[in-house]
Amino acid sequence: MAAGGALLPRAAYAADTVELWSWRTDDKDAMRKMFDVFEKANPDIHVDLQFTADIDYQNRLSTALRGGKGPDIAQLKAYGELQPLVEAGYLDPLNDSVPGIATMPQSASGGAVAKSDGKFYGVPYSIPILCVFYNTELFDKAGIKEPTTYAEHIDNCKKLKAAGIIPIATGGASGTGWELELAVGVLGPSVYGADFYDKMMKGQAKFTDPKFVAALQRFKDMLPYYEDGFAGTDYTAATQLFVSGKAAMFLGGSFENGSFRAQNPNLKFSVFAFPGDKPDPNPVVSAFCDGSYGLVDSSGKKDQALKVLNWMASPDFAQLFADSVGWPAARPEIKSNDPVLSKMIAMQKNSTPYLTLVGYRWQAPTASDIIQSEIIDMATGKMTPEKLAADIDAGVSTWFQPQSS
Amino acid sequence: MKTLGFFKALPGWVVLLLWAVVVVLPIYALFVSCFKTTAQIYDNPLALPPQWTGANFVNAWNSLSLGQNLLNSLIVTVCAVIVTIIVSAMAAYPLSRYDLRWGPWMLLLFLAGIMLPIRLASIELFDLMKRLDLLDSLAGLVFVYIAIRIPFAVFIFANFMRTLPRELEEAARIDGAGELRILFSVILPMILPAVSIVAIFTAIAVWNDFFFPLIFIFSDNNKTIPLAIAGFVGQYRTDWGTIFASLGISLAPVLAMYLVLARQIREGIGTTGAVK
Amino acid sequence: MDKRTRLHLAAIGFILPALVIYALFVLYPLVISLWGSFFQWRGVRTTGFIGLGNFARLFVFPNWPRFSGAFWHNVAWFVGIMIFQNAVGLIFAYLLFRRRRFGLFLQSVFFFPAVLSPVIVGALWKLLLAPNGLAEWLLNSAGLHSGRLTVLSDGGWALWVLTAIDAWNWMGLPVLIFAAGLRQIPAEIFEAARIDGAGAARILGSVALPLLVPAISAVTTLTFINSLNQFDIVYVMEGVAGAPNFATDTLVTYFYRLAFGSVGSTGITDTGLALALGTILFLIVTLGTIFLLRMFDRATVRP
Repeated sequence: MAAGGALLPRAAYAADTVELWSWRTDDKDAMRKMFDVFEKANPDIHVDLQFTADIDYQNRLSTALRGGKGPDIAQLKAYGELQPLVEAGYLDPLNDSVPGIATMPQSASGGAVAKSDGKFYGVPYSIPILCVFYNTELFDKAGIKEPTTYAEHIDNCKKLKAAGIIPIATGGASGTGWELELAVGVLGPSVYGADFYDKMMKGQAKFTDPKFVAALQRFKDMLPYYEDGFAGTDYTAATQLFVSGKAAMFLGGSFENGSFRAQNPNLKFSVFAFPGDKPDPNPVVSAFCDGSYGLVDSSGKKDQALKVLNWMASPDFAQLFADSVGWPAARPEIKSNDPVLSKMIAMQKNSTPYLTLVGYRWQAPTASDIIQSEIIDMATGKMTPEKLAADIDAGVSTWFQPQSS
Repeated sequence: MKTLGFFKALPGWVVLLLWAVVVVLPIYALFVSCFKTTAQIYDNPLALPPQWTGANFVNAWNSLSLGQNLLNSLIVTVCAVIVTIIVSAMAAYPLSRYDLRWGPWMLLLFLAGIMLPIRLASIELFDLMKRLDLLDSLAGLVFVYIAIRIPFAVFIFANFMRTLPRELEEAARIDGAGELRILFSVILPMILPAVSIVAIFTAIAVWNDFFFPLIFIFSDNNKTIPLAIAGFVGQYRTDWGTIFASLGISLAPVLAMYLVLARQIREGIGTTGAVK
Repeated sequence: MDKRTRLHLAAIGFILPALVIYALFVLYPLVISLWGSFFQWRGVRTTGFIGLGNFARLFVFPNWPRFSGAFWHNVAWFVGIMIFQNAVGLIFAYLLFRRRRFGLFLQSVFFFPAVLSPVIVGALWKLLLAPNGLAEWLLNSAGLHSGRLTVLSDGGWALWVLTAIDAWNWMGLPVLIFAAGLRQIPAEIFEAARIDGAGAARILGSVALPLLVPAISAVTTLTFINSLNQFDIVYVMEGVAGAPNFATDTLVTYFYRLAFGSVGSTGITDTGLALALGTILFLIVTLGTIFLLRMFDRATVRP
């Protein structure tokens, strides 16, 4: 009997499978490699990765959880979008079971906190910033440099256009509204300043404030420098334009870094913060916690899942994450050999929260809902920036309470 | 006179052929695009492929578990069709052939289902499926589809059965046959067109349904074709060659079925539409 | 046991399987949903009876713009289909009816798109209408358009384009139904009209149309029910929020967002509102269908 057992190959013994859901379809391969590292160190656990496109992810997850058929570990959106899942009781608090979270900076862990009880419900994985990606070779070809003022930036765009290069690639098709919202987040701080977020949280400023309208107007002013027919292009097609060298710039978040490199290893690119009207030695960028990985309450593999989550909260994982997918990890002390990533980590020091994502997704209608749906009308000239700002304000006013302190 | 007739008929022909082109052109474009790269499709969407490579199909097949999805669609459709036919024929028989006081009311209850908007009851239906542990399962889908298709099937069966001569089952009863035997051996063979109508329309509706798999199916292994395709398209938006290939693969079985059954479908609709 | 009882028992036994499945999976959820719309919900649990509270919320900001927008889009869809699909389908059916030889073959060709899943149809047309797609190529080559085609992101055009695609999908159905209806009209009637010197259009309008009322009734009722149920094509082509800026939002996509989340990819649901919307939609569909059937019944010319 025992001899027979010894003859059974070790591989035939089914490893415990922990199911993990994510919306980062672009990082599929890189993530597989990361978890292979974990599996090597923990051969009795297999992490099964399942990806759903971002636009369907949240409702797929909440429906599956509602039906008791979710994964063991779920990638979770941050801030307001985390709350419905916590309130419905789908997730387990992790303060005691994953102590590593408490060692992360607040800018990261803030996105994984439940408003109801202040506990952590996920292991944050990144603090992306929003900036402008640019193709260094195309810039050299057009004879331009990183702009230090807005006027220089427009000048650059004109020179690129004259040279037959698309200045900026962007997507505006259905399902890509978040990218246009993100563009506003890229240029926002350069227009409304680093203290605007705090003012809005205290109720001292609203979306209808001329500073925010000016940010929307600046977005509109840049439209002539987007590619022809951007309204019909989606995010993936837009990234293709940048990656294939047809467009010189792309307004995006740090999360583009890894996928750009993976799609075109020969692409020479760097980043800069969107410049304001006056030169600033320390330009401010929008930053936010992108999300976290949480433990599903109905999971039958909690012990194994917690092993995975504790690994994900460790500095080792942070370094591996930064190296594999090219995102800034949730631990800013991580160093990187990638010059672009290093630059982004440095830019993180001068950041303000990404206004609509961090501050206004707590209840429906979220500011993002409104801006993502309506901004295409502003882009096609059917709506004025003032009207868009007014709509956002009207929508969030149905639930927003300024902080009292 | 003959040439005048030709000229009078010409505008009609032009209109009809124009629409035929509008119908066929997208399918043709789909077909040739399956064999091209994305760049070639951008270049000239209507040109024949420079090389007929199957690379897109391989790509699509590997990226999606299309084999599994096709199988799932097949299982769900076949089960739903067979059970729907059986239970609906059984229900239609007494309602159309027996003289029951409550007969017309029961029939009305069934027929009302044709217009009931079941999608609006999805919240409670979801809850029910959860309690019956039918979520994320093919069996769950089958039950829902049977329930939805019963009204139409009962309608068709009842209408056809009503037209049969009165004495039909009497003779069989005198011979000592049981009611079930009468239904399946005497009645049904006489209304085979009805059976084929119900089978075809149920099959098409179930195979093509997207809403219920969207709500009830979560794991990749249990997806049916429409759900798989929708997810794929949402994800791989720039590799047109592969997307077209995946559309082609999901379209092929339907096209094959249609080539075989076109005449029956045409006649079936004619009969159904005329009955009102 | 006498014959009557035996038959009665057999009848019940025969009806039971279908009735049980139908009642359990269709009637029960529907009734519970109607009932539930009068309660307040927190997530997936009820917290108390509030009568018309949910319904009232549907008619105020921020829900009213979505509700009325979706409603009018459905109305527009119905009108669009009646014109692009059914009226045109009637003309096609008549033309085919007068051309026996290839008529049947073309009917089969016209009907083919109807057997395709709306997902396939939507995905196919999304690619054909995208920038760099077939439609742009054709329009630019014909000189009717220049530059990139962005019609799916244009709030003014998107809904009509989607309606046209739905018509493309289902055109074959009215063609077949009307063709069958035309075949049922006794040939002598057509003969008589032709002898009287009536032209083709006149025959269609004054002679055939009144006799086609049952077919028109069937087609109109089906269109009514289907246009209120629109979801699949919108979901695949414009996403569940009816982009651009809700221009293609329908009552069922709105319902889906409220019931299952995904308002701008957040998971926030509003069950009470969803059920109220469901109840209202149920009333519209039921009453509308009964009204249409009655109206056509009265208009039917009986021989």
